[in-house]
Amino acid sequence: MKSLAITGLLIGFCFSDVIAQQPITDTITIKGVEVKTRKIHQKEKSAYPIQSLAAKGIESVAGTSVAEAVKTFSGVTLRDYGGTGGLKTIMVRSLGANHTGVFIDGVAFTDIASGQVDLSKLPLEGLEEVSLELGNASQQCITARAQASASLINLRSKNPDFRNRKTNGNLSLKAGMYGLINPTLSLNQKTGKKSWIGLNLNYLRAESDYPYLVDNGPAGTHRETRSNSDITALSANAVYNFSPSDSSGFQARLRIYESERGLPGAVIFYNPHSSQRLTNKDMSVNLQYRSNKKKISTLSNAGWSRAWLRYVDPDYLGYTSSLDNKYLQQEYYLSQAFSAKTGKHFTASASTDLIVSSFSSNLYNNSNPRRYSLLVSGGLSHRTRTTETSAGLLLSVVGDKKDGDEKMKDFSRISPWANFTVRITDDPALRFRLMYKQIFRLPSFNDLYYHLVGNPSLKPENAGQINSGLLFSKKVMGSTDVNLRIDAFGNRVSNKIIAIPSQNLFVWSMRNIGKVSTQGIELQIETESKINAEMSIGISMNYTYQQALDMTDQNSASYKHQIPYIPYETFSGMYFINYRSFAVNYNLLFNGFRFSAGENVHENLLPGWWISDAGLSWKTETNRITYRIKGEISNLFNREYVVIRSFPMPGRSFALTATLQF
Amino acid sequence: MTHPKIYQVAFAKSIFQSLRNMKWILLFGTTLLTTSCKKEPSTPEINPADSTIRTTGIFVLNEGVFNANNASLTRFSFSDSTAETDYFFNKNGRKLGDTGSDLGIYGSKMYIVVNVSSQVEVVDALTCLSLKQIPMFDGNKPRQPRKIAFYGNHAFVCNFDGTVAVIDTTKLETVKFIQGGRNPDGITAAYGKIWVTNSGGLGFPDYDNTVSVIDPITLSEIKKLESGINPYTIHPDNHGNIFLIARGNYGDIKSRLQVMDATSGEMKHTFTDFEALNFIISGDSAFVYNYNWNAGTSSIRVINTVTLEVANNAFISDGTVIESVYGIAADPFTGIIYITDAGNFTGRGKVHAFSKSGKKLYSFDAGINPSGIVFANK
Repeated sequence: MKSLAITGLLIGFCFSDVIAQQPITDTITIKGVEVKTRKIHQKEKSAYPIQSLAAKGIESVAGTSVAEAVKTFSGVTLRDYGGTGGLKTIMVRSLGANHTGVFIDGVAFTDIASGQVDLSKLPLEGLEEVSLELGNASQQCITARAQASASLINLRSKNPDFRNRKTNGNLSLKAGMYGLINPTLSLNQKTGKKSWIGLNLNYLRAESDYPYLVDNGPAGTHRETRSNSDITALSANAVYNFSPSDSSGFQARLRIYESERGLPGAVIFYNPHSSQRLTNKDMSVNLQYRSNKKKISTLSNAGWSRAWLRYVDPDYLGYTSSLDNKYLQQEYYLSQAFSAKTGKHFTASASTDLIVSSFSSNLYNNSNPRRYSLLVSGGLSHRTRTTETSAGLLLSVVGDKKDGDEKMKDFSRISPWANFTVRITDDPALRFRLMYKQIFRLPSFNDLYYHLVGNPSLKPENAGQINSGLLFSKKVMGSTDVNLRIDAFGNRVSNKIIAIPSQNLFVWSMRNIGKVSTQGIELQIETESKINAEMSIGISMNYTYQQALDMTDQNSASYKHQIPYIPYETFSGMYFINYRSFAVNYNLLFNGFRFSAGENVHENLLPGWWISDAGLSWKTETNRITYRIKGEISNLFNREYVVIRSFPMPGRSFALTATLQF
Repeated sequence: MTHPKIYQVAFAKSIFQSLRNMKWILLFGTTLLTTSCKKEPSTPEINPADSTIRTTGIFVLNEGVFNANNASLTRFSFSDSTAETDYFFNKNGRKLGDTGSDLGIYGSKMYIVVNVSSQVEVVDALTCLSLKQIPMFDGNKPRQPRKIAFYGNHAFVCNFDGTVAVIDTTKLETVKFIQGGRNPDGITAAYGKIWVTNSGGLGFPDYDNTVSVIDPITLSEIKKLESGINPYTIHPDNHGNIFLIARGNYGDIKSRLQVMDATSGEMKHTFTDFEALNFIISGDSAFVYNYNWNAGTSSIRVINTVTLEVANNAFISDGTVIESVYGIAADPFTGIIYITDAGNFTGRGKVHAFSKSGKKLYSFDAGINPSGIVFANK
C-alpha cells in the first residue's frame, strides 16, 4: 500500500513536470469560444446533494438492474448478494437501506414488510435518468412522501420523441454469459394531437451459474459453480398520456413485475447445496395529473399497488419438511401537492399524502397489520438573484391496526428541514450550499410484528443529516464543461433498529438501541469535452471518505468501531470517448476494506476491491431507424471479490446488446 | 475526409488542448487510483502445519457465526499455558466449516460436528490431523448434525432432520440412520442406552417434548419418554438419573432443569426456582448456567444431584464477571470447571477455568462463540 502511494506521488510529479514544460499558448484559443447556453442541471446548483446519470451514462453501465447505475454515485454502498437475481439494496452515507426511498416517475416503490427496496427488481432499460437526492426536501411541487426519507432514488422513464411520426419504439436483445437473455420491446403510439399510449416489455432470464473461488486455506481452496442462482423475470409497463396544454399533463400507468428465482444462499464449506426459491408478482396502477402554471403548480397522484411474494425452502427441517411462505402487500394512496409563487421572492409549497398499507401472511401470529399514514408537508423558500433559502416541516401521523381494527401502534412526529445556497461568483460559477434535515424511518412490519423476532414497542429510527458543500462549474476552452463538487457531511442516527439475540443465537429480536455517528467528505468531478464534431470525451469521478462509528455502548467491544459493511473509502470513475459512430467506456468501482460485524477485528475484515467494466458500442442511423450494437465486459480483470460475506460475486463476463430504434 | 492533413492537425490540437485542461483531473484521478488513505489491515501469517505431538491440554470448539464459515478449534496447552486458535486450520490447511456444534474424544480420535456444513470431521486426537470427513446428507439435502455421543464401536450423531446417524468408529463410515423425534438437540450415552432429546425447535409453536431411548446394540429406538417442551442438553448423574434442560417456548413456559428416573422413565423433578440454559455434571454436583438475554447477565448455580437442592446460587465466588456465558465443561480428573464467554457473539470469546470453590484459576482467548470443550489425553 505504501509503495502504491509513492507511485501515485511519483506519477503526480511527472505530470506536474510535463505541465511546467508546456509553452503557454492558452490565449490563442479563446477566440473560438462558442457561446451556447447550456441547460444547467439541478445537480449543479441544488442546495442539497443531487447526483444523476442521464441516458448516455445509463447506457454505459454494464448489467441489467438499476443497482448498477446507483452504485456509481458517491456515498453509496451497494449491498449485492451476487448474480443477476441476487438481492441488491443500497445504503447512502452509511444510513440503513430503509432510509432510502425509491420513486419511479414520481410514484413510490415500497416494501412495507422489510422496508427495503430490492433494486434488482427494477430494470435499467428504458430509463431516461437515474438520480439520487440526499436530504431531499423540496421547495418544488413534490409529494410529501418524497420528502419523508433521508435520501431518494428517482427513476425517470424515457418519454417518446415522436417528431413527425405517429409511432415509435425500440427493440433490443441482450445476450451474455451465464445464460443471460434480455429482450425488450417498447412501442409508443400517438392517439391524438395531445395524447399517446406506450407499452414496454422487458423479459429477463439468467442462469447466473458463474464460477467462484471457495477460499478455504491452502488445502481446501477450490473452484465451484454457483447453483440455484437463476432468475426469470418479466416486467411490463403500459402508459397513457394526455397533455391538454404545454403546462399540464395527465398520465395513467400500469406496471407489472413477475419473477421466479433461486436464492443461492451463503457459500457454506462442504455443503454447496441450495434450493430456496422466491417468486414475486407485483402490480401497480397510478394516475397522475400535473400542472405547471406561471404562479401555481399542482401535482395529484392516486394509486394502488400489490406485491405478492412466495418463499419456499424445501430443505427446511421443521414440521412440514418444507417451508412455504406467502405474503401479500397492498397499498392505496392519494396525494396532492402544490406550490405557489407569492410576490417577487417567495415560493410556498405544501403537500399531503394519505397512504394505507396492508400485509397478510402466516408470519405474524396470524395478525395482519394495516398501516395508515398521513403525511403533510409545508415549506417556504426565498430566492434572490444569488441566494435561495428554504425551510419547512413534515408532519407524519401513522397508526397500525390489526384485523378487527384493534390498535397496535400509533405515532406522530414533526420533522424540520432547511437549506441554503448562494452563488458566490458567476463565471466560473461557484456556489456554496448548506443543508439540514431531520428525518426518521418507521419500523417495518417485520421489525414490529414478525413472530418471535418482531418487537411491537419499537420507536422510529432517527436520522439527522447535515451537509455543506462547494459547487464549481466552468466551461473551459469553449467545449469542456467542468463540474466539481465537494461536500462535507455528518449524520447522526439514534434509536437505530438493530437485531440482537433475545433467547438464543437463533432467536433474535429487534431493539432501538443503536447510535451511529457518521462524518465524511465527498468529491465529485464531472467533465465533458466536445473536442470536435466527431469526438467527445467525458470523465466523471466520485470519491467518498466516511467514518461511521458505533456510539451505542461505551462498554461494548464495538464502541467507536466502524459499523458493519461501510467502507471508509469508495471511488467510482466513469470514462468515455465517443468518436463518430463509436463509443468506448470504462467504469471503475472501488470499495475499501470494511467489516462484516460490529467488532473491527481481523476475523470480520472483508478486503477492499477494484472492479472494472468496459463497453464498446457502434451506432448507425438511417432516416427512420437507429441501429446500435454494444459489447460489454463486466469485471474486466476477473477479480474475485465479495460485497457481502460468503456471497461471491461473478468474475469476468461478456454481454452483447443489439438495439433497433424506430 | 476531404482535407486529411488539416483534419488531423485540428484533431490533434483539440485533443491536446482538452487533455491539458483535464490534466489536473487525470492527475487527481491517478493519485486516487494508486493511493488509499485508509490502510487495509494486513492478513496475519498462517503458521505452517507442524506435526508435533502434544499430549496435554484442552480443545475448545468455537461455533463461529452462522453463514461465515468460521467455526474453529482452539488448543490450550497445559505445558506452556498457550492458546492457539485456528488450531484445526493450522494443522490441516483448511477450515472446519460453518457453525461448529459439538465435539468429543473417543479412543484416539476426536469427532467435530459441524452443523451448517453438515459434516462430522474426524481427526487424530493427538495430532489433530484430519482422518476423515463424514458427510451427513439425505440425497443432497443437509441433515444438519447437532450433537455426538459414543458407545461400543459406534459414535451416535443426532441430526436436525430427526435421525440419529450411527458411525462405525473403526471404518469411520455411517452404518445406519435411526429415525427418532423432531429436531433432536441433545444426546448422551448412559446406563447402556443412548438418550436423545427431541426439541421440535423448528415446529414453533408446536415443540416436541420427548426423549428417544435407543438400544446401542440393536441400533433402534426402544421408546420415547416424555419431558418438558423443547428439550436440549442431556447428561446422566451416574446414580440412575438423567438430567436435562427443557427450554420451553421462550414465552410463558420458561427454560428449566429436569430430572428423569432412567429406569422408570418418570420425570422425578423440575427445578422451578430458576431458569436454566445449559449444565454439566461433575461428581455429585450439577453446574447450571443461565443467560438473561434481556438484561445481558450470566449466572451459574450449583445443584446437589443427590439431594436435588440448590447448593450454591452463585458459583463464581471471586467476582469474576462473565459477559455472555456460552458453554460449560468439567475436567473429569481435576474437577476444574471451564466456563466459556462469548462476549458480544461476533468477536473473540474467552475461556475461564474455575476451581471447585468458584475462584478463577486462569483464562485464555478462544475463537468466536466458544461452546464445546473436551480434554485431551492426560
